[in-house]
Amino acid sequence: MSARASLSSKVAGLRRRILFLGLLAVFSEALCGFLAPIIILSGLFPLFPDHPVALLAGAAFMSLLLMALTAYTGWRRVRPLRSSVEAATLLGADGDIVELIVTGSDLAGWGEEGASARGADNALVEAQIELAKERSAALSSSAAFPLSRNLASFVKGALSIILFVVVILAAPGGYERAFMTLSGEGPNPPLTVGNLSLTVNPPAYTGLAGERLDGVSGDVEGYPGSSVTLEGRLGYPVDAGLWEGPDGVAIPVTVSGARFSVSWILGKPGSYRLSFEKMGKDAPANFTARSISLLEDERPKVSLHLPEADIEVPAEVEVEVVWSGSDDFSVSRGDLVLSGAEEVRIPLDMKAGPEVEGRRSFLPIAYPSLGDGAYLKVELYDSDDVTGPKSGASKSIYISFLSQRKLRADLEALEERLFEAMLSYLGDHLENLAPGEDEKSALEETGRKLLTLLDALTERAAAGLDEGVFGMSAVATIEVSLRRAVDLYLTGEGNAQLLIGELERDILFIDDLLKNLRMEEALTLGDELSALQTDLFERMMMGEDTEALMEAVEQIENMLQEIFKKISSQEGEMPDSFANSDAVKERPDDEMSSLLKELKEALEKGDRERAAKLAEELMETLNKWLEELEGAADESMNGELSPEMKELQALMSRVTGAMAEQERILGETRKLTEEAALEALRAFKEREADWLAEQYKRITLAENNFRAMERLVDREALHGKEVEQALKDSYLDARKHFFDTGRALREDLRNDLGGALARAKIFPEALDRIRDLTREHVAGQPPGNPLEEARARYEELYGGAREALEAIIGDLEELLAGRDDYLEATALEALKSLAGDEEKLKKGIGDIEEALGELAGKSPFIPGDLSKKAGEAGKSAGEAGKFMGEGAPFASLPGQGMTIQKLSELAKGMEDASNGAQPGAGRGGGGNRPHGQDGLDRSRVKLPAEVEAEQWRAFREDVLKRMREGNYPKNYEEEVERYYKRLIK
Amino acid sequence: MRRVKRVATIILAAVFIFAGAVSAREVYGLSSGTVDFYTGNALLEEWRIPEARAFVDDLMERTPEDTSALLLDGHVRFFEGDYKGALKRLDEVGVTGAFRELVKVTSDIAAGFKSRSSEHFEIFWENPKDEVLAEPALEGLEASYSELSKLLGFRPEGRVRVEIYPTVADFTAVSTLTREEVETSGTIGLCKFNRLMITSPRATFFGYRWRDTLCHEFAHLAVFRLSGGNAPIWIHEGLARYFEGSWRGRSGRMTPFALNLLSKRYSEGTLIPLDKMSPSVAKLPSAEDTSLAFAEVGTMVSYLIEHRGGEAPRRLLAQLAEGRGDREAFSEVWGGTFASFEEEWRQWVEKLSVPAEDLEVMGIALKDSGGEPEQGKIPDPEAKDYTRLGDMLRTRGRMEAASVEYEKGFRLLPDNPAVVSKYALGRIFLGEYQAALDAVAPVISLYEDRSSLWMRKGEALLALERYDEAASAFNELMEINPFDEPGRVGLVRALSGSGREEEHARAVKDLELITGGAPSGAHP
Repeated sequence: MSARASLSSKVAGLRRRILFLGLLAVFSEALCGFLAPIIILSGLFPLFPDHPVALLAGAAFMSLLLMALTAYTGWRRVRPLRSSVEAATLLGADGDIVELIVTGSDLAGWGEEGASARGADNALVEAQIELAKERSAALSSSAAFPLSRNLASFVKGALSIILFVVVILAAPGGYERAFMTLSGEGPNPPLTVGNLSLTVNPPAYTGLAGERLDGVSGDVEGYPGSSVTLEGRLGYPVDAGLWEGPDGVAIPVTVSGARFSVSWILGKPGSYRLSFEKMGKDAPANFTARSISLLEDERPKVSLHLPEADIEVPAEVEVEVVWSGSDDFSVSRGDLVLSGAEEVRIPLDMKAGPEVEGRRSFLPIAYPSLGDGAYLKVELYDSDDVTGPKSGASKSIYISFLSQRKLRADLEALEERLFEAMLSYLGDHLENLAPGEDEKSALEETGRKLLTLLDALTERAAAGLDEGVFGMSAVATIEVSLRRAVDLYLTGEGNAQLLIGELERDILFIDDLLKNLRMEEALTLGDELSALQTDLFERMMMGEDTEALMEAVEQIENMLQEIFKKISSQEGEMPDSFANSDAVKERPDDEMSSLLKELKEALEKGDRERAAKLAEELMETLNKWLEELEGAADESMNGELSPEMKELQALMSRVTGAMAEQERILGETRKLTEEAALEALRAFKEREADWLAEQYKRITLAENNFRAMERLVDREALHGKEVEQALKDSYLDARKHFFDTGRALREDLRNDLGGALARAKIFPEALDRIRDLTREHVAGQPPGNPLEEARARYEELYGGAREALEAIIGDLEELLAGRDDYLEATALEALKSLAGDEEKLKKGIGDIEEALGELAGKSPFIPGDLSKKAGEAGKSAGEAGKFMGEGAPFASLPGQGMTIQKLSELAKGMEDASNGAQPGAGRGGGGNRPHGQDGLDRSRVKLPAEVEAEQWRAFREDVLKRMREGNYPKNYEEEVERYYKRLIK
Repeated sequence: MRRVKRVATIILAAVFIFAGAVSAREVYGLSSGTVDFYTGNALLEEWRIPEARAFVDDLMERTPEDTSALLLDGHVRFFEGDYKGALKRLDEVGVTGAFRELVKVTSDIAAGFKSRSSEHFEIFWENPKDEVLAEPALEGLEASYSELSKLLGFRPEGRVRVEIYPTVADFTAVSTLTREEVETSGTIGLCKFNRLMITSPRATFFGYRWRDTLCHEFAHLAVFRLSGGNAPIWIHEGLARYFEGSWRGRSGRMTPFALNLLSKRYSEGTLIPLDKMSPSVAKLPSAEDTSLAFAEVGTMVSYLIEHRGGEAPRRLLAQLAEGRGDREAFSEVWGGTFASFEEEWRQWVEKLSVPAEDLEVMGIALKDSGGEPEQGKIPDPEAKDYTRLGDMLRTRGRMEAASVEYEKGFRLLPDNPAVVSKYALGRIFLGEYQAALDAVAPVISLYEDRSSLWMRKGEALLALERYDEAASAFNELMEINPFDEPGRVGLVRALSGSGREEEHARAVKDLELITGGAPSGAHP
């Protein structure tokens, strides 16, 4: 290659290098300038997400500007060489070389022809060129323009690219969104939702006014059913919006420009959202989910005031329910809910309001579907017509319906079983009055079976008693005597006649009882019927619906048929006088059936006025008839009494009255003597110690004398093997009695002087008894001493002891009599009046005595000793009255007490007689028999009096009540035992 | 008063005839129709039914459209027993009120009547079983007719209507008696509206002397007609009582029971005054008072006839028919003052022996009263208890045991009919027939209306194969309770045993009638 070409090549190469590197540097600089704003502004997208286009525009502008500037400045810095000189200059280290190179280059550039043309020597030119070539060979373009000169630019460019990539990768979306926005394919910009206001209108039932709240967050709170309207302003107008609530409920939002509103009804709690659309795309609103809270409409609060706690009531007695209730808004209605075998709801009558109260009665038997009992509560409903009325319930209590009828039916079945068994057993005995061995064994076996049955029935009867049915006591009443009679027969201690008598007596008793029970059952039905009728009337007045009333009428019809059936003895015999009474025979079947029919017709037609009138008429007819029926039952109960027995019963009340009068006089007398007794006691206290010591000394003397007497007795005669056990026992018993009396007397002397006197009086008797047992066995003691001497000594000792005891009695009598001295004048005056009363009492008792004497003459069933007993009572009253008249009230007290005792015995005797007992008559069979040696009670079994039954019921109810309260009565077990004992008394 | 009425009627009738002759339609302010009505009714009041019929027929022919004539025709038809026709007439004239209701109810009840006739009687019954009464009733009534025609000269025109009512309710409805009156007094038969009415013994538990009752009522008819309706109650009842047994030749027979009751109440000074028997013995306060009233008036008539002869009743009735007062008429026949009669009668009563114990008067026990009453009361509670126990055992098939209890009761009260009946029942079961007869004999003579005693007697005699006597006892029972099935069975067996074929066949037929061909044979 020629120098020229070489040099040109060098220069061209340098130029290219400079141009290449320069342009590369300019590019790098420009790239850096371009990317830097983009990178920097990309960080603003998250800060200004709503302005992607603005940011993009800003970034583009700044990039282009910066790119232009950097390109310009870069280009200025790295512009290509404009001449060979510049190239040579740049290549060469000194001027010569530059010159040479430039020349050589020029020459080379001229070519041969050009050089010739310019007059240049060719050789020179060649030399020049050669030199230039030589020299230029050493020149290096990389040395003339090293890469390092543009390295910073390159680095900048590279860094820009890297940062750009990093930024793009790390925070994508901003520019993309901006570009999509610019291209028209991107999402809507974020939408601001603000200036919210809420209008909440509570549901009508609450009665609350609506409320508008401005500047709210959007969280909603209100009662279910409230109407809510949300209004607000948007960041930019949108085309549509949607409200999305709980459970996916969606409601379109009304949009008007940049304003929106939406209304919905509060139903469920949760949250809601708003979404908007623009141009068919989501306009991302800055409205996050807002809460919906429901205010709770409280349930009505209900209080049950009556009944207070679990109760037991007769099914035919109305139960009164008293209640009250309240609600945050209003109680609109309520039910009395009875949950028994089935549920019954009885609407409550009330005036709607936030505070309500009322009372409602219901008749258990009017609702037979309830069964034997029901849980009772009151349910009240509020007026919530949005989610439906909410109910509140009172506490629940349990009511047991005591169905007298059911209990009686149970009882009847129970008694009938026993009745049949006893009758069969009686038949067995009567058909085998002289049984052989086999027959006797069979009779004994049957007897044992009867006892087994009796056991079972007694157990059930006890349960029946617990149910409060007095008739249940029938089994208990006869149990003891029947069991004993059978036992005696089985053990061979009693003969068959005793058992037959007992069976006859008990069978008659149960037969009577069953008849009376059936009658009672009919009356109970009557009571229930009356209660049902009254209930129907009341329900009618309360406007109960026709269907329920018709049911009630049908129930009355059914019960009426039942009672008619029962009183016509189709379900077993009733007492004859009752069954044959006018009330039974002329029952108003037709009249009542006709009224009921008319009543049903009136109800069906909706003629309430006529129905009420008919119901009233029905009620009157029924009550009149039931009254007659009860009268017939009363007459039946008393009907079989003879006139003498009726008079006897009348006299019984006079005896009871006399007892009460004597008790009054005794009480008054005691009051009068109290003061005097206290005074006397005070005076006595001063000398009590000496006095007591004296008495104790006497008692000790008597006891010592007795021991000494014992020592004079032949022990073998009292305790020897030959002596009969009975005699030994008798002696030991008498001895014990003597010393016991002494001990008791010491005690009485300290505490009860009146009692001490009574005790002291039996002391000599105790001494005498021992003397009687020992006197004949006195022996010379010690052995060998003369018997006579021993006997004399024995008598002396006895005399001493007896004297001491008499002295005690004398002292006591003197002491007690001395109390009269302490009586004040006023007390003595009052005593005179009491003495007059006692005299009148004595006369009254005398009249009773006379009347009883006459009655005994008229009726063989009234024993004569009743009159005698009355005479004894009169005598005691007379003695007491005499003492009182003499101003000796203390002395009258024993007489008064004796009068009460005798009158009490008289009353018992009269009661026995009136119940058919005739002690001493001994005619055997049928119930009128005396007590026998076998200990069997021969008196006629009597039905417990109604008053007793009342007492039992009261006791039982008390026990039950306390048990419910967890508070068992004091001595509960003993009381219950007494309760049962009374039943079989 | 009644006499005045008759005179007025005749005058009115005469006026009517006269007025008719002159064709005047007004007579002294009364329309001729009204006069006709009163005239016809006056005839009806005296139960002169054929005359009333003739009168009304004539009237109807002359004035067929006249309301009074139609009304009167209705009344006459009722008395003739044409209840349906009577009701139709009354409805035609639009009559309402108590009489129309009576005719209606009578017509309704009589709608199912069946009948049978004899020469002088026509008997009606409704329940098929009551047919068993028809033949014996007709026999008894004809016998009574025969006696009364001889003794009183009573021969009613046409057949006497006799009605047997199936229930007490029907009887009270048509008789205008109340149930209480029936139960209290035991009045179960009545002669009213020109007919004889009784309640079927089937409607009672223990029956009653039903043929005596029918004849008693027939005697009332005779007394009424023969006295022109002027006989006071006591004479009515006295004569009816006297003649009630005439059908079986027992005119004037007073039962020992009646005499005992009379004696007892006389000794107590509690006789029923004659005036107190009006308006009806059925209205006396108790069955005992009713029985006493019958005993009083029955013995009075007996005493009269005994001392003044068999013509006395006819004369007495004739006196009454002439309008004399009862005491005046009685004095006339007695031949002295009534007081003298009464004094003599009292002296006679005084001589009767007073019973040692209380007598029990049983009222009528009606079946529709509810329950089944005991036949008789047992005053001693102990005896009652034993009897009750016996009954309890008996109803459970323990007859042997029951007989022991019955015996215990009998030992205490051997004279009480109820106790004796139960005791005899037990003895019969045990085969001690003679003991049963011995126990029944003294009691049945006093309490001869107790069906249970006749039953026991018949059973014991039947067992002893004394068939004729047994048949008599059972026949006596049929006089009291013809519907007693065991009694009917006993009668059949007794008649069979005695070989009385004809009677046996009839008894079998009667038994089939009351049982519908299937006798239960249950022992009471």
